[in-house]
Amino acid sequence: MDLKRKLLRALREHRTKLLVVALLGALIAPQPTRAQFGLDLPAIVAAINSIGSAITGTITPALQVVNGALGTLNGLMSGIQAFFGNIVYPQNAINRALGLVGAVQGQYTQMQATSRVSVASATLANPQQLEQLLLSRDPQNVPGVTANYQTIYQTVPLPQNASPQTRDLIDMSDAAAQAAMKRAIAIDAIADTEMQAADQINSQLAQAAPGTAPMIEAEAAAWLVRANAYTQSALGDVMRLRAVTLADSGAQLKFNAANGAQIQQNALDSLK
Amino acid sequence: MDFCKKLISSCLTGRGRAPIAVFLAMLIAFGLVAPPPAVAQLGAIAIVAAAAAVVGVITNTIGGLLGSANGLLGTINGFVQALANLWGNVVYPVNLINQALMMVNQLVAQFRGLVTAIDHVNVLSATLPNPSALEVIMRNGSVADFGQFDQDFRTTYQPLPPVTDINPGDLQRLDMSDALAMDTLKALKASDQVVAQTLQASQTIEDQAAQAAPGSAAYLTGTGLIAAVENQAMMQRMLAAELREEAGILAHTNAIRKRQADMASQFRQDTSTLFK
Repeated sequence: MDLKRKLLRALREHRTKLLVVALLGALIAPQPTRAQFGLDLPAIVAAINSIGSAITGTITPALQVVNGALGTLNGLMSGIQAFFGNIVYPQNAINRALGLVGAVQGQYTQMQATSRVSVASATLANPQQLEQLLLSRDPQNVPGVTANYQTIYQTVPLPQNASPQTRDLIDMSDAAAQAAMKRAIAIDAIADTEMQAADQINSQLAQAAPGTAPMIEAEAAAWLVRANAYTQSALGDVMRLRAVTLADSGAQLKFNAANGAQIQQNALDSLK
Repeated sequence: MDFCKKLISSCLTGRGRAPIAVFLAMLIAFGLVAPPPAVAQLGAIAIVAAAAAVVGVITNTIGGLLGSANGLLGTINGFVQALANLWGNVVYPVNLINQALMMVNQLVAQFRGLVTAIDHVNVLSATLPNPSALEVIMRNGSVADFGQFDQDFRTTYQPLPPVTDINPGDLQRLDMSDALAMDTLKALKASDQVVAQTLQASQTIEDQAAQAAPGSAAYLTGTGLIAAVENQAMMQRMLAAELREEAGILAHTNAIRKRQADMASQFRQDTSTLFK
């Protein structure tokens, strides 16, 4: 309590000095800078206005130009899209073409069935057996041709029954005939394979997109080239066989000439 | 000056000093208690400098970038325009597309009927009833009448002789030769039908070609190529039939030679037996 009284008394005694000190302190203390609402307002507004002017003068026209360019680009892209959609890849034309692929496939299924109709015509057992092999379209039957061929067309005569020249001629002609029959089986099998490949390519084409159709087309072109080569090969077989037939006829003529000369010589000898 | 001195002395002395002291005390207390005014971090000069910097960024950096972007957009526009011109004028010119479609229609009008008429020219030439019947059935392109065909063939080319009238080997070879000839003729009947169907397929493709677009033409080309592969396979079938036939002719001729050798051998044997 004494301390409090002493303090109060000291404050009362020096109150004048204290007031002066407090007043001086309040006056000397640093003044705060005025905030936004002060004498600097015009400068700040001017600064903001300069930013606005920069946006208006620089960014806005640039954006307007960009906007115009984008509009032009958009128009071009729309034009290109319409061009491709209506002129280059019209959906109705694509659908019609896909329909055609299916229709032609149906036609070729009929054609394949027609080409596989049995044409067998032999009436006797051995000819029927050989004919069955020849029309089988199965390359595994090729080795069986020789035995069946020899059953019908006989084997090369024994050496005591024909001259060596005649036996050579007969063997060569038999070989050419048998080879041709075997090739006929192989060619039929190749044709079957090509038709299967064509079916598969056609199935792929029926599912292709306009952009992938040329890829299927390329595969079909490759098969066409291959098929042409096989046709050429088959034609070669036909030509080979005809050449052998022609040579065979020529040889027969030569034999006849030799036989004629021999008969003439024999006749002359008998008159001697 | 004197007034000020008097005022101060009156404030510090005399009766009026108490209210003044109270007023000053309240003033000080208010100064201490009242919230100080907000102090901004920067002064007006700094704000203006910052605004100038922003303007500089807008003008120099953003403006420059927008200028570049605009230039790039102009380049892209030019590129797309060039691409559009390339597609529209060089790759897919509409006038040439229409010209191609017109060409298809023109070829259809010019050649389709003509080639069909040529293909249908009547070449039947037999004069007697049996050959006439065989000739008709040989060329009718049907695979449903092979039974009738066999009958007509045997009527014209005669049936096989009875086994009593011919050597058994010759009978078999005769049957084989007949069979190969008939096989080929039947294969040709089937081939004629296939040819008609192939022509139908080509006509279908051509009809579609007259309505095609550049983007759908690949389907038609693909279909045409596949049809060509199928067609080659059919041609190979025909060549195989021809090979069989030609081989049969050669084999038959060769067999006659073998028979002659056999007969000559037999003749020699019989002669030597006769003179024993």
